[in-house]
Amino acid sequence: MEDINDEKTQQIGYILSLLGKRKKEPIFNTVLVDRDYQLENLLTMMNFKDSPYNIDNDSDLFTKTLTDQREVENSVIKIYKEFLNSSSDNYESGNGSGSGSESEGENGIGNLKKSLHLKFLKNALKPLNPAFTKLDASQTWIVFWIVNSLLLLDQDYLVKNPELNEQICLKIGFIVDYNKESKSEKEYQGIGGGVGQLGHIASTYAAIMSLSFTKRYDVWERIPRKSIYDWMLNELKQKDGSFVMSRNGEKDVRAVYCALTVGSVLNILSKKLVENTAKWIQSCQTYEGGFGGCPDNEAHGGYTYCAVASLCLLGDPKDMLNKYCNLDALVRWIVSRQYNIEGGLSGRTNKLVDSCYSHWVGSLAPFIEIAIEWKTIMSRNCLQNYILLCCQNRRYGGLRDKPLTNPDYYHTNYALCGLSVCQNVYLFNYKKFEESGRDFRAVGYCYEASGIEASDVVERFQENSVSEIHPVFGTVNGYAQEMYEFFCGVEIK
Amino acid sequence: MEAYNYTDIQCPPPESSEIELCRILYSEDYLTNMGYMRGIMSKNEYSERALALTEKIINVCAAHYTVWEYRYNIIKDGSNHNKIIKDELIWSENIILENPKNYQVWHYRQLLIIELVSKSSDDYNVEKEFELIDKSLIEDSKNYHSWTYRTWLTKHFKLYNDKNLSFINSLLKSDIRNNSAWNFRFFLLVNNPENYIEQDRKSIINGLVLQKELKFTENAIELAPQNQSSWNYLIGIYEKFNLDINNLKGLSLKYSNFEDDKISELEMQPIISSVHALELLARIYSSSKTTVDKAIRAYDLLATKYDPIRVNYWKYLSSSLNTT
Ligand SMILES: [Zn+2]
Repeated sequence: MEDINDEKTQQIGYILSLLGKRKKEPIFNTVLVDRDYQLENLLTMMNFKDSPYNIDNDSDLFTKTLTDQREVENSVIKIYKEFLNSSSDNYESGNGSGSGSESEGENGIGNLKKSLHLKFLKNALKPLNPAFTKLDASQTWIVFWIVNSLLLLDQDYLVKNPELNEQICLKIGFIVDYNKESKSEKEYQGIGGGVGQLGHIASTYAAIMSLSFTKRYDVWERIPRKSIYDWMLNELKQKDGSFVMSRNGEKDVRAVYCALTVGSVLNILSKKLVENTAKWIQSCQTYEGGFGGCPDNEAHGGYTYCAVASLCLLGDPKDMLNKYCNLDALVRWIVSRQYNIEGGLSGRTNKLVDSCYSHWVGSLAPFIEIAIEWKTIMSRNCLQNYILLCCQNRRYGGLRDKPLTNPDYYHTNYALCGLSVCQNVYLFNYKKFEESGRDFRAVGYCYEASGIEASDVVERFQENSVSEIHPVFGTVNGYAQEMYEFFCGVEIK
Repeated sequence: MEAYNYTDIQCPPPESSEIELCRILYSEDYLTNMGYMRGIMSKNEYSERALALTEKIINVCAAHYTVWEYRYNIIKDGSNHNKIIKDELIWSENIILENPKNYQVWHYRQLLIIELVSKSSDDYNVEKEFELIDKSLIEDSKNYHSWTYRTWLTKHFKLYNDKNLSFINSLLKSDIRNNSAWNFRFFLLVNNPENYIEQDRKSIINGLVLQKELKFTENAIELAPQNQSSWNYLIGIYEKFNLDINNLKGLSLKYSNFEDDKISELEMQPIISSVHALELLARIYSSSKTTVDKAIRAYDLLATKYDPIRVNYWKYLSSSLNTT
């Protein structure tokens, strides 16, 4: 048996053999001490890869799932090894006191390329090429992904760029008003994905959240809250407690999530609107512990997020998650999404890691950590490694699903949200909730974030740090709350 | 496609073009068609040319739910209703196979089937739908939309038949790690009324069916012990039908390569065949006071040796044993 008391020695030995170089241990050891956790974690992960305890399945039956999985693992390992290589080269050349220029600041490959991502996002502020016609029914989403990403990278982005703020008001305001003016108040069908499109609850979510970023009270006042409420209640809400996405549209747990988040920030939620909803969500939990889009569907990261965040808009997380789901199974399913070699998260059992699940699954961590009263349940540092090292496009900016894919706005936003959750722990302020008289309409505004201790996660450089995200709304912290508070003082009309 | 004339249509003003933010540079064609579409929709014209127009737009933007909904209204409104819907089913098949990951196309199909069956006098054989679903699953065996539609169809028309199961078997045969297929298998097992027998006025699962299913799962584990799908399925069955998890001790020992009485010995760190087996073993140990120490040891091994990415989770499970 190997000497288990000296894991660090093993790691160093491993990395040396990996590099094919022989070095004196003490030098490397000192380096490691004042190195950061990013490197240390990668060493652990790569060390595990070749350890005898890693079940590599090689003697098992080979199938497509395993071939695909190996392919991704190999692309990730290549990146991690290159990074370790370049880091150690810097030490070798005796660059300063152990921090090589390559890995310092925004240029280091392990760091968040903020200015590059900002550049990537800013391209969308100009007209989009005709290929985007495919997203014609998702225009409010494009705006949402981009603006939320910009704010994750720079909390003050909209303050610094008032003309963009104005553009958001114009663009989204026009979509909102168009449906308002073309129909009588009574017939208002919600907010669509573009001008003149049928109301759709997901488009409505993206539109309302985008407007929340603007902090423009004059525009907020134009939102037809009463009509949106009537539409949700009369057209979307189903007897069994679920919601459909739009008139004659599909029914799944996404619709529930969008209806509840929109209802919450507009402060139009009522007991009637959410009658039976928690029960219906409960029926979507599968034998694996995660939730499907509808009862009996496979457990899936996106739907599990919608289900759990929705439950947490109906009551305090500890209470709701114990009452309306098998919490032990849920926790087990969530942590099972993280993979040993990649560090990233997958959306389903035996599927591949994908950076967007850094949010859909990663942002579930706050809820379950609160519910089970355990400080950190996932390996945040390993997830951060995956996002930073494997998912950034280093040439044009933007974040991608996995190595060898192209970045897009959707993955940029959700990878950054995931990064934010890696860097924060969340508490639920029970006292505040009690003070509201346990009013479920206030429950979304009782979360408090605090930066995580450095020993738990990498914040090598300030450049890596992104804005706090709100676990329920999936938007940069503060905006949803301000909108909710604004509407607390405005009559529903 | 027949050429229709739309020049009489008054197009409501299009997008406010002075807003630069995320403005899509549509093709001339698309803009013109969209203009006609808005005009036609504003006067609720349900016509052949309206139908043709929706197709043009769907071909460019398959996610245009507004246009899909309008198309549905045209179809519903039409005379010679059944014939139109059957044509529509054939037409939408290609759109589905070209856009298998699109919400609208599958949902549209569901609306059509409901419409056809609810108003149809002739007996439409809904099982024909499986041909399309099978085709799409052979292309992409984990496509969530195909599975959602299959689940809906099976449930709605109670098609818990052997044909359904044998397709699942063939998928699992080609990839035993296909979790979507396992999930559907679970759905069939639990929902098929033929799997239950009446006893003392209660409906309980047929023991033979259950045994067969457990055997199937154990064989699957044998083929690929590290495949989490089959372990999840096994535990899922145990929980669903309230079976005693202690019965799985032998199986979990086998694939974790531990000897029951030696797990506490520190030097005992074998090369294991399945992390999931060791996890299950730990769970079994933790259910009895006399073996809690062994459970803690197993969690410790998972955290430090076999599954380090979940170190926080294993510590959490272990600590909850310490306190109780
Ligand atoms: Zn993704």
